[in-house]
Amino acid sequence: MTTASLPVDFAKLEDLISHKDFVGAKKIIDDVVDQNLSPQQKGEVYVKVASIYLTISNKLSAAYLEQLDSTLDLIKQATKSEKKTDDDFKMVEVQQNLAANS
Amino acid sequence: MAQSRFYEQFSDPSDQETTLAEQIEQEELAVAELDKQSQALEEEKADLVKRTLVLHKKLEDGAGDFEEEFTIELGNINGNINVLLKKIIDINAAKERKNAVLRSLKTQNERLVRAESREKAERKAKKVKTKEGPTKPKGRLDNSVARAFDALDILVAVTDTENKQDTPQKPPEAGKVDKATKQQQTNKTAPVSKERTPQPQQEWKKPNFKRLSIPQLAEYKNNFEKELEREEWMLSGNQNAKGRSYKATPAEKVALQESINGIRALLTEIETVLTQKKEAKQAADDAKAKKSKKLTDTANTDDDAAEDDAEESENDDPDGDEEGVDDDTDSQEEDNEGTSDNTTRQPKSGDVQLKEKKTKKNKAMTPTPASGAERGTPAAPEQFTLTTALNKKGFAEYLAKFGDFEQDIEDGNTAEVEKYYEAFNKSEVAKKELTSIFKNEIKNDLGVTLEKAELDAITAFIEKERIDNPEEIVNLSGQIEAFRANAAAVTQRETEIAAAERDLEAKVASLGGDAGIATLKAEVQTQIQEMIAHNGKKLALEQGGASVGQRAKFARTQGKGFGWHMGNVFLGWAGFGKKVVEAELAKMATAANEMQAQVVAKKGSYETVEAAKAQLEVVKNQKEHMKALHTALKQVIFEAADSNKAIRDMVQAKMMKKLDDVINPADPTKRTLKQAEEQQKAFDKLKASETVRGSISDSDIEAKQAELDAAVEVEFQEEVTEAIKNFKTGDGGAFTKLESTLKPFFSGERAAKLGSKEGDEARDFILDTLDTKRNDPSNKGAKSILLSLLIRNLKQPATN
Repeated sequence: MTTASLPVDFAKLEDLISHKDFVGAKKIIDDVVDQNLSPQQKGEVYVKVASIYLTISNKLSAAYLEQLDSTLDLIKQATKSEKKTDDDFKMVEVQQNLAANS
Repeated sequence: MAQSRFYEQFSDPSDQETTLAEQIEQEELAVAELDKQSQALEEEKADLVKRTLVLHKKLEDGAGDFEEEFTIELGNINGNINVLLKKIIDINAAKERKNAVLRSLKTQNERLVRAESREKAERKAKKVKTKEGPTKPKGRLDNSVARAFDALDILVAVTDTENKQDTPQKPPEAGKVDKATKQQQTNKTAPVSKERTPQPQQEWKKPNFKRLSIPQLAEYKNNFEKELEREEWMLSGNQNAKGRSYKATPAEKVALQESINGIRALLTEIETVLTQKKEAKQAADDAKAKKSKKLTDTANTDDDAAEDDAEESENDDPDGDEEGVDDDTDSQEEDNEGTSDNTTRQPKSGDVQLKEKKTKKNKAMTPTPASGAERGTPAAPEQFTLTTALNKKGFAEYLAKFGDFEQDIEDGNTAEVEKYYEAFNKSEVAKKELTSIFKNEIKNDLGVTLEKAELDAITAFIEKERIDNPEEIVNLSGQIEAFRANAAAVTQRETEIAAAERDLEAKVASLGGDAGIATLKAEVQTQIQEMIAHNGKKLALEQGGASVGQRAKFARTQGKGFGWHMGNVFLGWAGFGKKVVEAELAKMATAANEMQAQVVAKKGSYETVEAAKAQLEVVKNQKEHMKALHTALKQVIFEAADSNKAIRDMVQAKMMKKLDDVINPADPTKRTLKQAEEQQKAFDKLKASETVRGSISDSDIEAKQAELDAAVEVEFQEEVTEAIKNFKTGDGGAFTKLESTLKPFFSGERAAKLGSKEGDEARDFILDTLDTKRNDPSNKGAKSILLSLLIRNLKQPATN
């Protein structure tokens, strides 16, 4: 997105947000919107901040999804383990029966 | 010769056994080391989880200046927990593989021992010529069992031990699965049939099922099901369809049960992968069907061109890097099958310069893959035809910005136009979606409302950018799709986890809840102590057994000195003693194995549950963390970007003043009921205006209404009081006159609405007021009697 028409460093803005420096990010945006912007510039600001929001939001969601997936895997693992445990118990029973009968 | 064979009973194990024992020892050490690593990581993870709980608590309680710092730390910790989890899973998988090898080695060792023992017993029976029956296979002290006690803390991780092999293998045929190698892969022993009819071992490695196609998986499944059926039949001893039955020996039963467990585990894994594959294929088929429908028109008019395009594409772009914007679905679908689709459409034009220009644009329009998007939810594209496209408002103008398409259109070369049309449509979607996000998500979450002019500015900018920087708009569209898809995916996963959590709760309940788990842990600790004691006894007896062997040697070497008879006595005593000790040791070894299996099973039952519970806790924390971050993100970006906030603040202040002016007259002491009611009407009008609703919160409006209601009530009560006070009793028609006097207060508009009170609420207020006046001591007497009738009539108008 072109940013030449706006006196703002959107890359820096994105970087600040990525590092959760919300205070610094807010200051940058405040400085931009305090200026007398044309409709074209306003549109650019909105679209750009929306784009940054979507980018960061998607990154956060991706990380969260990864966490959710790993949890699901673990629970499934526990479910499998449960089945295996049952099988192990059966094995023990068989062995005990054999020992008793031998 | 006889003596020589006799002494073989006390000879050292064979070289092969020594090698196996060494291997077992090495594997056990490796497993123990992995266990230590896993344990250390678990402890580290537990500490981090504790820290996140502390931080969340602090944030909930209000961290003040440290809130930001804590939030950042939380993010970092959660990242670290993720890394640790991955490491733990990897280590557990490695442990599982090592355990599989270990069990295989032990089984081999046990077989050798049994075979050797059987052979010795046969030799002994032949030589000593006793009348004893066939010697049963004896258990033998297995060094690995003793060492296994040291590895008791190993949690048998049940993870998918994915094989690293990359190329799919041919599935085994039913009945031909090599059990020994299957045992290695599934941690189970080899099936019994191998003992009876030894076959050369074939190398069969468990393939990575995820890399196999659906037909291959189905074949594996079919073969394993047949094998499972066969082994279950062998274990049951029942007759099969052909009337045959199989009587397994006790040892075979053990091996069969283990093999069956292994096959079941494999079948479960195959079934899971198969289901996932089928779902993915269904999704891909749906996407393909949509695309085929879209391309129908184009195919009818552009078959030759498409073929040429494909050839050009292969020549120009062998790597398939420059994919068209519509190739995503295909390539993704093909990737599922392990192939890639390099067929790409490129512009067909004699004008090289224009072609280069268009190619550049095409490349620029290739959307960046949506990060985190698992499944997009783009609006279904409309069917493409040149007529449809050129009827679309603004598309002809849009297309004209990119070069000369007149000849392409005349020649029916729709492929090129279609790509631009798709990009154009994406920008339209981006416009609508972005506007929707501002109008809905941002408005709902933050109460930030953009004016129409601001929304128009967004639309205008997108329309400009889609020509100047179309690739940016396509990327923006991708971001929006990912945003929607992520939201859907998160909802889906959270639903799945909620279901899994219920299963987990059921599992915890089946273990007797937290108290039951604590009991189980205590039992395990006790059993471990018992095993240690058992092991000590076993070792002591083992040493005692060795001394029996020494006595036998003594009998041989010294027996001569005591004569033939005494020599036999010594031999008989020593041989008998050894037999007794060996039998006892075999029992103890079996018992040790059983105890170990029980402990491992018990540990497995609660440790995996506890791990899953801990992970769920992490996710819950993560969810709160995510929500907080999203809120912070939205507030920073959109509150600040809301350039009309100052204007809206001003409007809000103005509207509040208007409401105040309406509610508060210049001199409240001179306000009448009529004036208060007029104020209510004016207030109602203001409340209905969008400007007020858009700028003033509901709670503020309700507060103002309460002020006005209080004023109306006061004026009403004062005027009713005054009317009753001025009314003179004693004349004829007293009731009718009173009713007439008070009628303005309970009829007409007021009966239906008084202040903000409407209907029954207004009527009840009027009756309460009259009741209050009736009970007023100053009205006691004729007035109170007349008021009683009036109240009665008002309550039951139809009967009087």
